[in-house]
Amino acid sequence: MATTATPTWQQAHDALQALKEQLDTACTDATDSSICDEIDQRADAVDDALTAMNQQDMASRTVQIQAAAADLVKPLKDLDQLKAEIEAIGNDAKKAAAALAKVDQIVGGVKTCFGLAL
Amino acid sequence: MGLCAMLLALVTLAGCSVSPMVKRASAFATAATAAAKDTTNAYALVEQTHHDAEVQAMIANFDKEGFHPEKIKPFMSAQDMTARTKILDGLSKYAETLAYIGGDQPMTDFDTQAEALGKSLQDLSATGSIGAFLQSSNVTGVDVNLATTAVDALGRALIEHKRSRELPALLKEMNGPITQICALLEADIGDPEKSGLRNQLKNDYETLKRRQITFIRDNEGKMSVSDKRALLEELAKMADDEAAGDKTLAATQAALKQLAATHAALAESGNAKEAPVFRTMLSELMNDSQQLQGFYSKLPAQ
Repeated sequence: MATTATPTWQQAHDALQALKEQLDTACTDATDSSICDEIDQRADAVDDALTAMNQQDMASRTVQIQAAAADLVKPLKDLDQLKAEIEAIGNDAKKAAAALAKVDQIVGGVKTCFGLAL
Repeated sequence: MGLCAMLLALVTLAGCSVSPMVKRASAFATAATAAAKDTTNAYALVEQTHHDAEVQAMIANFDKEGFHPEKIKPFMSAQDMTARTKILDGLSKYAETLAYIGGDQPMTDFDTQAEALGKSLQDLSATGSIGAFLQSSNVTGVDVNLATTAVDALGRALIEHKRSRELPALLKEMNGPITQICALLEADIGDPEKSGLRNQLKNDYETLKRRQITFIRDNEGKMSVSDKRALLEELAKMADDEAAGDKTLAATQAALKQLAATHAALAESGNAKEAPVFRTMLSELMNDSQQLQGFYSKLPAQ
C-alpha cells in the first residue's frame, strides 16, 4: 500500500519556487503575448502562495523574537544601573559645587545676624 | 597643600587612563549601532520592493478588477514588524548605553562638574565672606587649584574603576541575548532560493520583470521604438537592482553573524590588555558596515 507523506514546509516551498521559475522563464522566452497572458494568471497564483509561505516563515520566528526582546530587559537594566552610578559620581561634584556656592550666602547671613567677625 | 598633593599622587599612582576593555566596549558599540541600522534598512528594502510589486499587480489587473489600492498589503504584518522593531531598538539602546559608559562622555561630564566645583572654591577663597578665614589659615589659590585637580583626578579614577570592574560581567550577561538575536535576524534574512527576506526580494523582482515583459509584449505594436527601448532599459535596471539588493541583504546577514562573534570575543577578552581576536573581528565588522552603508544609500528603494 502506497503511503503519502505530508511534505515539509521547505519541500512545499521548493516545489512552488521551482514552478515559479519555470513560469517566469516561459514568459520571458515567449514571443507571443497571448502565451505571456496565460502564464501571468498562473504565475500570480504561485507568487501569492510563495508570499504567504514566506509570511508564515517570518511569523514563525516572531514569538522567539519577542522572547529574545524580553531576555534583553534585565541586562539592559543592569547596564543602565552602571550608567546611573557613573553619572552619580559627576553629580556628587555638582552637588558639592552648589553647596559651596550657598556657603558664602549662609556665612554672610550668620555674620550679620550674630554680629560675628570671621 | 600636603593632603591635596598626597591625594593627587595617590590618584596618579592608581592610574586613571581608560582601560583597554572599556575602549573595546566603546568601539563595539559603534559597530552594533551600524548593524542595527543596516538590519532596519534590510526590512525596509524588502517592504519597498514588495509594495512596488503589489502596485504593478494592481495596474496589470486594472481592466479586469478596477482600482483597489486597499488590496495592496505590506509583506510583514504589523505584529511581526513590531517585534523586529522592538528587538532592533533594544540592540540600538544597548549600543547607545555601551557607547556612553565606554566613551569619553562620563569623563567630560565629570570634568565640567569638577571645574564648577573649582570655581566655587576659588570664589569662596577670593571674595567670599569666609575668604579672610581661609587666607588666615594659609589656604592659597594654588592650594585651591591643586584640590580641584585632585578632585577631578579622583573622580576620573572612580569612574574608570567602576566601569572596568563591572563592565566585563555585564558583557558576559549580554552575550547570550546578542547571539540569539543575531541568529534570529540572520534567519529572517534567509536564502534567495529557500526562505526569508532574500527569497521574497528575489520573487518580487522576478514578478516585476515578468509584468514588464508582459506589458512590452502586449503593447509593442502600439509603441515607438524609443518607448520600447526605454522599457527594456528599465527591465535591465530591475535586474541590476535585484542583484544589488540581494548582495546587500547577504552582506547584512554576514554582518549580523560577525556581530555575534565579535561580541563573544569582546565578552571573552574581559580585562585583558590585548585582545587580538576581538581587534581582527571588529576591523572586519567595521569594514563590512562601511560597505553596507554605501550599498543601502545607493539602492533605489532607500
